Amino acid sequence: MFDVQTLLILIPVLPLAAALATAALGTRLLRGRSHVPVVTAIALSFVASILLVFQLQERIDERAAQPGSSRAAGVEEVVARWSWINVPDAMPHPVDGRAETPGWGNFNIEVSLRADPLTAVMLAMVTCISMLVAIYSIGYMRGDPGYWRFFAYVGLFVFSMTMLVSASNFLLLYVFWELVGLCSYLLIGFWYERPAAAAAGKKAFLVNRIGDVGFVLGIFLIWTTFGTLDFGGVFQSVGQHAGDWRVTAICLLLLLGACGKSAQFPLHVWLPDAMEGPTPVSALIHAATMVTAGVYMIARCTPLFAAAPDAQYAVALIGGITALLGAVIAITQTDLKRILAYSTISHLGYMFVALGTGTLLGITAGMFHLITHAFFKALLFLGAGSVMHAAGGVIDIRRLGGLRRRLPVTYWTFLAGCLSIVGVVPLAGFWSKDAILLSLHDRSGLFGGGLFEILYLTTLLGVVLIDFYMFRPLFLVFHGQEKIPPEAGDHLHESPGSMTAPLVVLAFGSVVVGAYFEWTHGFAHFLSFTPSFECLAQSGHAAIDTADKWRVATIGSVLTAIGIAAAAMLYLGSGKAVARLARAMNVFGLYSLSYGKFFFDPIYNVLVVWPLLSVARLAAWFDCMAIDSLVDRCGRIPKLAGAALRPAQNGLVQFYALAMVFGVLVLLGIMLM
Amino acid sequence: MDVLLLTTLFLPLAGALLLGGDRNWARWGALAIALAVLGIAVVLVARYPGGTAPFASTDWPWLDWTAAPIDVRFSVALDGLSLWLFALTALLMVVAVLVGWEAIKEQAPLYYRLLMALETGMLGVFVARDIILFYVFFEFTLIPLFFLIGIWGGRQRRWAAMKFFLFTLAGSVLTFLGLLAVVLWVYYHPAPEAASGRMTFSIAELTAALGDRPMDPTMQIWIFLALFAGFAVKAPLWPLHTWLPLAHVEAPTAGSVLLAGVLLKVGVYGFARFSLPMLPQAAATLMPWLLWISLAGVIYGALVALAQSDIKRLIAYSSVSHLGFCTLGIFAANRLSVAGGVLQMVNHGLATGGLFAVVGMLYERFHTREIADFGGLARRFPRLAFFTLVLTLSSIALPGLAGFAGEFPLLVGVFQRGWAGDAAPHALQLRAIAVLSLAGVVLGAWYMLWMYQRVFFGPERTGDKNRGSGIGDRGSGYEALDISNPKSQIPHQQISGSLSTNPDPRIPNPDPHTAGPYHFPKGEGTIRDLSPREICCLTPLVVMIFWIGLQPGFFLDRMRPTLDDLIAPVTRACETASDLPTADRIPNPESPNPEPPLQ
Repeated sequence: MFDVQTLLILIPVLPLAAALATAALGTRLLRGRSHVPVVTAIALSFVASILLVFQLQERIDERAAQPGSSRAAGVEEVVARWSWINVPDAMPHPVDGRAETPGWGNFNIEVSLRADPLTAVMLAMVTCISMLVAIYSIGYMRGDPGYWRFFAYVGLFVFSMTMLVSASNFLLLYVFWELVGLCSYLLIGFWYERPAAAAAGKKAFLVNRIGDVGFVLGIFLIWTTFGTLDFGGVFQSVGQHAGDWRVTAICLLLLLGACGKSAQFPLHVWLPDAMEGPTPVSALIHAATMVTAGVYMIARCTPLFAAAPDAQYAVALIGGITALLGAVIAITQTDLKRILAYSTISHLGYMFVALGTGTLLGITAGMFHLITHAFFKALLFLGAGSVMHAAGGVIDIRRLGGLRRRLPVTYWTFLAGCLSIVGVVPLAGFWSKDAILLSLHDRSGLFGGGLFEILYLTTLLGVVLIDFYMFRPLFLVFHGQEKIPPEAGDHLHESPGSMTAPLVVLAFGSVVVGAYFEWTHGFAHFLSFTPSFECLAQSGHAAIDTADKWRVATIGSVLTAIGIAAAAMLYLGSGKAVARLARAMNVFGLYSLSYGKFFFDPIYNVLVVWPLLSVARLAAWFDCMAIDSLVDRCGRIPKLAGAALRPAQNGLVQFYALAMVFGVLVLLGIMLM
Repeated sequence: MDVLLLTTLFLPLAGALLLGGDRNWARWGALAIALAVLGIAVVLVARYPGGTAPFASTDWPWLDWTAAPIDVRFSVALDGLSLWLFALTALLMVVAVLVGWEAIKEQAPLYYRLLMALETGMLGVFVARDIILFYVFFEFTLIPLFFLIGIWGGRQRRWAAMKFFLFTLAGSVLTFLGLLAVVLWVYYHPAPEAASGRMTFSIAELTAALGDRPMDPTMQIWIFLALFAGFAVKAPLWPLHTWLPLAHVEAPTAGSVLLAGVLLKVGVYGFARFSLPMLPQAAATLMPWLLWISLAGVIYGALVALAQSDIKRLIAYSSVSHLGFCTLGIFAANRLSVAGGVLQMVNHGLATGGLFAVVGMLYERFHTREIADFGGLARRFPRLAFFTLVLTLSSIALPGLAGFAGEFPLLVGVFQRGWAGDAAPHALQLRAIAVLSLAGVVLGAWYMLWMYQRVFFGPERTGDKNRGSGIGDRGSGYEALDISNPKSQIPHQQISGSLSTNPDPRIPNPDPHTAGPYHFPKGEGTIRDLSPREICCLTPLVVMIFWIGLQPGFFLDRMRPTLDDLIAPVTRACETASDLPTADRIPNPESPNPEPPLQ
């Protein structure tokens, strides 16, 4: 049937074609049917992604069946279709005797795609979630004036995201990194008439641009260090640069880029604002797919990070800070979507922590969590969207209550998502959370503590916090006394089938996907055949002690249970307990800090935005008053010179004669001397 | 081929002399000529064989009837450096003719004749292969533009035209001295075997001669500075840029389009054509200074743009910033940076030229350019919003669009200059420049997106402040439009403070499925989205932006051989400089120690 290469090309091309068709025909021909091409194309892409996974699995099985083959060898296939730029011998050879990769200095950027297990997993996840969200949007966006525009953007996004995860060199990765950012910009500002939405789109783009400067500098440094931008070439020659400060610098710069895209501290400020976009967008782009691009990029660059342990510590540290920060802020927010956004920030932090361990166990755990998180976070966002849809756009959890009976499907699926995300056995979240805890436990044992010991404890604290911030909205919105905001009118009702069906599918996924992956060992096995992870396989990691496994799982589950019980006591009872706790916490200012989101936005305004704008105004003033006025003054010089000499031309012939005689005398004098 | 190239020069000139009749005759005639030139340019580009040999060349003796040994020739040809700038000029001229189609009412025949004269001048600058011919065209571009700004410009048009003219002229006089010095130096230092006593003005011969027998470094630096004076004003480099915002703001739309799109490139083109290949030692020695100045332009231009409240001024300052990127690439003088720099010139012409056209279209509709007067235009002007978005995104170097295809290789090249070799002189400075230049990328995204957000997003508002009511003594240009075109009069609208949740009662039918003319309740006329003419105007730019963005290799491959030749001397000079502790050695040991020849 289809070979790997064809599939790899079809997966991104189908959504692109659909997006272009929708953009071309949306206003006239399609109108209310604008979803048809995009949803169909994404569904086909999803099928193609699944086929791709099976084909790679076949190859892995073949590889494993061959006697004597090394387990380390990865499975990959690269397809190049056209050369974007080709400048041969663009860079002179290094003079200081550093190692050179073959093809050094040829600035040959090909639009080439790569299929390997890491890519296949990402492709399957992206197309699956996109398909479900697109189906959901049929109901959610119905009647919106920009219906066709929405689906055109979504198609463009799926194209960009699938290209991002299958790109085969750093430049191409960056290209689609920016394009998903563009789609994010367009979709956050989808309702552009709302000033908040337009401003949030711009903010997201700019904060990402700051991260991208790091990414670009990283790419430049990769170019001057390795003489190529191709993944294969760079990763193969990393070994020759062990201990080079450049590799550490590259990793830190790439990390900055990842922080921007994946909303990590200190560049996380754009993600909560991005909730101004339509809810399906929040679910798709700002929870499940685009924000995981940073995680994907760091996983992809594993060979680089493996050669720079300091950078790995940085990844883990940033992840740990972000995980805690997001969780603490999420507890006190009152906007359901923003709670989920901070939860996303926190969970992305966990993924970073896992990647920062630098072991195959940790990276597999991070990718595992990426997949399960995609399911339950998309589910939670879509559930929130369903609530919004019913409640006339109200999303403040203080104004909602007791919607359980009115929105049964939404309630049960949201509950499944909650239980999964907090990590109740045997739901998906449990397995991936457990894997992360295990990798940290494993790492903290290896080197006798230090950073990973602390991170392990931090993560355990996070396990408790998440119960609070996830069950609080659940209890407030769905339990207790029924509160219906006036915006909802008198027709508060369950969402249509096109919206509830994806909820059910995602809930099913959130429940079973973890257990399936864990019990079949399929995920870790499949992923370990990624060429990028070869370097880890060689170092090898100690087989995990079964006792350790049980210990970590037990600790995690007990903490989760305690947290849920505490949250239930707190939020199902009267509000007094909560108020008392808030007051108690505010002794340390913790409550205000959390409620104020640690004041990042005002701090950035004071430290960055206002100074820059002031400098800009100063520069404008300087331009007008100093440089330009200097120019104008210079322009007056001839006039002044003329004015100075004008008295000489006084029209008196006697004066001219006198001057002539005087001049002749002077000349004579000079000649005689 | 050579006939075709000559046609592109003489056809507009004929138009400049012969166009007449009423406004309709003149504009259709101008459009026909511009389209014909564009067609020929396309044929020439398609036939361009690549390589380094001059293409479609014509070489006539010009002053051979005099007894003097002066060998000035009418010599024109295309090569890799001029190819795309030539094509860009032909394309933008069509755009320029179209943007003023309705707006220009007074003295239209004269207007179109001046445009045609300008086209000859601009095309000539890029194809001239003789220094005198180059200088003739270089100065010739000033005159039509002077009148275009001075007659059809805004309120301060005379001041702007005067400033533009004098500023540029003052610089280019020094440039002329520099060019003459080059010619004389070569004349007084002939090759040993050739003793013809002929004073050549041929750019190719001069470059070759200076490659064989380089000047001594001090001399090079002086001549470099002389050339720099004119080209830097033209480019414009910081701090010689202040004529630019004024000229842009006051110029009629077509003038702005051509000024930004083509005329600024003449300066950068001069650097690449003369300064680098003829004076490589000076370029290598001065490199950190040149890069610092370019960087200052990049960041300063972006910062000042951030503080602007007038769209046209904002885009004018963004030009300062973007041209800073171009010169950054040219002065870094390696394969990637120069290729990126030249491509970036074309990209800037397309994107910024297009943005100026868009500003003109906005002004024709609303008679204001203040950002604060606009808001939410995307709803009723979806086509305008789309085109502006593409141009804006290309201008901030979004991948897939042209701006990225030029900026990325350019910045890689600049970075490479500082970070690839450890032993390079001034390594620390060059490294800092490479990193700081990225600040311009962030700031660029900031001011452009902010402008776009304020104009096209948010609650709808369109102000008609009738800013142009202080009508000039001759009532031409846009002021004329203010009174004579009742169709474009719209009622004064207060800024709506309410959010979008409160639907504006002035918007009767907000159904975007039927985006069409919108009737203001009390207004006398309609303000429509882009007309077919305006779409014709912007579409070619957008198509080219996508083409360059998706397939820059096609464009780079055709110019790279020439560029490699042009920068080879600088590369050698840089290598020599990095080998030796002192940079003031003459790179070529064969040349006899030359005394400064001009006493």
